[in-house]
Amino acid sequence: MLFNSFEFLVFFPLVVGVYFVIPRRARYVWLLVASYAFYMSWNAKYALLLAFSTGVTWVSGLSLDSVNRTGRFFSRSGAEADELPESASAKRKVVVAASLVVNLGILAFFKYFDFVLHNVNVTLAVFSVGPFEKPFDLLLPVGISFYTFQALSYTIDVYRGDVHAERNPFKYALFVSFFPQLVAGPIERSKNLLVQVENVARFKLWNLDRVTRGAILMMWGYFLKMVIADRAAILVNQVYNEHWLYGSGELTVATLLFGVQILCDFAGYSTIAIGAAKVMGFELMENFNTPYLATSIQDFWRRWHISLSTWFRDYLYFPLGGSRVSTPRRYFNIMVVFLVSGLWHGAAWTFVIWGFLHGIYQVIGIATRPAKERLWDALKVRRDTFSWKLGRIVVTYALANFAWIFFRASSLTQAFDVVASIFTEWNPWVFFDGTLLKLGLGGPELSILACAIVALVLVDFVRYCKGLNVADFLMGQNLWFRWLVMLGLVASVFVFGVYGPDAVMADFIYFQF
Amino acid sequence: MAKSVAKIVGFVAALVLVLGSLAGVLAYKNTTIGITRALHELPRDSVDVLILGSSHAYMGIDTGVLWDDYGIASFIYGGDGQPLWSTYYYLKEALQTQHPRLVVLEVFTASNESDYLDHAFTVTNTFGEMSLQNKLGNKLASVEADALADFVAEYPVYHGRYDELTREDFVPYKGEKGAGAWKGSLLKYARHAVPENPDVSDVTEAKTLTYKNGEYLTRIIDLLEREGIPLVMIAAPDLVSPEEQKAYNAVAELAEARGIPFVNYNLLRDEVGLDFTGEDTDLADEFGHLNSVGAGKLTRHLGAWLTERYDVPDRRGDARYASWQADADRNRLRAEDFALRETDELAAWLDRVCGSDRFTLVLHVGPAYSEAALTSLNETLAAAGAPFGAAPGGFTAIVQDGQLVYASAGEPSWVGSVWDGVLAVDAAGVWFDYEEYPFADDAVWAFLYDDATGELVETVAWPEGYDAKQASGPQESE
Repeated sequence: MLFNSFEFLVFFPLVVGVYFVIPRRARYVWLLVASYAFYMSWNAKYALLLAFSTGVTWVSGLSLDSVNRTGRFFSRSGAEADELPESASAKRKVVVAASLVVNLGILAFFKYFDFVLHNVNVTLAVFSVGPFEKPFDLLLPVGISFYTFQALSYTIDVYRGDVHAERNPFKYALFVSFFPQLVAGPIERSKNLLVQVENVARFKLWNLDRVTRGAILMMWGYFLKMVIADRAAILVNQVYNEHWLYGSGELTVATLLFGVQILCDFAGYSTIAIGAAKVMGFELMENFNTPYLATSIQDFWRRWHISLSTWFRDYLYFPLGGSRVSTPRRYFNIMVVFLVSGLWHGAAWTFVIWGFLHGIYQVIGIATRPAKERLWDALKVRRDTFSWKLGRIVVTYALANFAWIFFRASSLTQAFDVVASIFTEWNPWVFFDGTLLKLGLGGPELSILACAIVALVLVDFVRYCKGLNVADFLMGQNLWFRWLVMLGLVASVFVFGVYGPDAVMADFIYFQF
Repeated sequence: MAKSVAKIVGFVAALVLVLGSLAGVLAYKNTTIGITRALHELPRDSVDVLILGSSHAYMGIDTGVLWDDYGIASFIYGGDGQPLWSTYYYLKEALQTQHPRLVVLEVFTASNESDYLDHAFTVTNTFGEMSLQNKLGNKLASVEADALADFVAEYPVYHGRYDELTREDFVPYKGEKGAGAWKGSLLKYARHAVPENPDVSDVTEAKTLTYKNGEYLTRIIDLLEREGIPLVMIAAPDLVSPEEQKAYNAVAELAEARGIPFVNYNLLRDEVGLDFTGEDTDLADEFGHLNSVGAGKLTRHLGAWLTERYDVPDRRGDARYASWQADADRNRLRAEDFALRETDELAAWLDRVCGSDRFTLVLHVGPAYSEAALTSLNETLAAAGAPFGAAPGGFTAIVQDGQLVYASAGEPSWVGSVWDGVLAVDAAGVWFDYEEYPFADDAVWAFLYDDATGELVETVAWPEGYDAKQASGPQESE
């Protein structure tokens, strides 16, 4: 069930209601049942896959932990780890490798089988060799990219001695399947979420302040998703679905709006997830932090899908050597991470190119930094000013949006066509002659979208300048203002949200990953 | 703890108030939903003839004519495209407060092939005021499983109406004057001619009704049998197709098997005197609905047919049935307004208008109107009994309740009111209900409002040298 569905409006209060009143020791059991029920509402069969992945990583965690304990190999305390005997060390490597192979193998099979087959057939066609037929239709299990990474992070953390293995299989299963973040993140770490699951019986649930903050976050998430993202999607889809009909103006607007759509869709989902977890006493990690106010692409990735970017940093970039290697090797590491990130997002060349772009942006940025510094010095450009920062934000925003073209396009051909049209089919009159009102959103709808985006910008500026998310900010205000905003958010979603039997609701974009 | 509970209760109360108010504004209030409220406002056991069915029922039957000609206290409890499953629940709802002498069921939707209708029709037939049990039953029968939650909650369906809100969404049921007396007719005042009248007299084959239609038709029959209320089924005259006629033939077979009279008016068009061709067509639109004139003819025939066969009391003169008289009066006046709109010639038009004191008339003669034509106009005005004569160089006269309330040469300036609100007149034209109606410089221009029905009849101009009107305003009302 989707967060913005009638079923979830019934499911969540029911789960929370029972959770608040049942005996403490039963809380994690109830949440586990609810989480599997939540997942099975999509496809009951794929719950077996979730359970299998959970089982594999749990067993591997126990196995690694027993070896760690034998060799007293723990780094959590910060103390130097004892050396492990060679056989133990080899066994640990086999266990973690097996866990990685099994889980990534499952992920790769479901996600990339069709992609690989397609490309093999394309290659064979060059040699006039007949295509391989697809032996079966594969449906990508919802959330597999997320829970696989979450489970693997546990395995690796146990391998590294950062955490002990969780002995209770049900608590571990809850860590993997916790319903608020199961299908689209944030991708949690065992050091954060698993620790909380272990201590759920000790939570003091009846705390109005915490519940209110959670509720505010959920309301804000629904606003982002249902008022902004789903509304922007209408225009974006109309233009991108028939991109050949449109020129630079419309395609630029659609691309910029896609940037808004994907932010609000994904951040909306994450915010609802974080809010729902908070209501139940859990603190999930922040997943988005004003990404479009980033001053560089590096900074962008510290603010966008933080749980994924930090996952790749900790489990791929650092093991490759990170930045503590030669410069060419550093560039190689960056490209590997972002190409893999692109592939993680989807089994299509468009995502690979998107990842490539983000990687190359950073490589070029790092490579040209000394030359740029000399240039700014020579031109006496002050780098401690608002205008300097604004310029960097604008350039970063433009680079990110250029890359979104490849993310949104349904094929490389379409992506290149869109790029070509944006730069060659110049038609600025569309901003004045009413054309923009014929792209699926009429005047009133565009006005609503504009006002909602203004609200988003205001909230982001508060976050950027004061470091407070919308819930923390409101809880610091007087009651009347807080209630006014909360009632306004609910009323906005109620009236302006895109939902109902005849509304074309966009799926949460990241569900396809 | 107490403070926290108070905060929660207070916020929830505020939330319910806000969302409830928004729901009240955004909810559908169109007339075919309003009929469900009108039923509940009727005095208990006051309806003698209950009429059920689709738009062919409420557009084709004039409750005012049934009252005026036969004293029949009828009520049309229908819906737009109402399927038989909704009709069954409408009947159940009506029988909670009414025990009519007779039920007339219009069976146009028996020809439906699908088990679920377009959501627009589902809204009009399931969103009205009904007891919870009947409402849920109606929705369960009308909506597919995957949309059921949305239609049961209702707000997911109507929440997006913010760009079509009107005054009637904020001010409860002010929409039409005399709406409180409304008995379910929604007559159409328009003419739509077709090249030839449909003829299905040679279609004798009966097609099988869908299982769902057959099931609910049987339920309706069974329910009325248990209640001891006679049922008459009719097929209203329309642009009937052979497929529809086959469905009517199936209904006729079922009716015969159950001993229920079935009158197919598509085979009685000549007897009723209906004609869908030519200038005087009895058809209102391309969907086959009768206009008010056609509805009058059908209703007279139906009324005669019913009173010959059933004991339906004549309630005329009964003070308890004053609202039926008001409903008939309103329908009659609206029919007269329609006839007025169809009156082309200025003299005949003025004759009708000046002969009644129920209009607000703004008559403007443009400054470019010649003196010779003005002389002729004044003769026409005098002959019609108008309480004013036009002066040269631009002239405006305003008449209300048969009295002249304003007359001025040159640029007019006047503010008054009618039932709907403010009426203002200035040099540019008439300002009414947030719309501007500009004068014509070289014509006799008229703005005509019927105070009795609370409706703008038309805005119209007779340019100099033209006998026929050049209409510039509303030409039909619902």
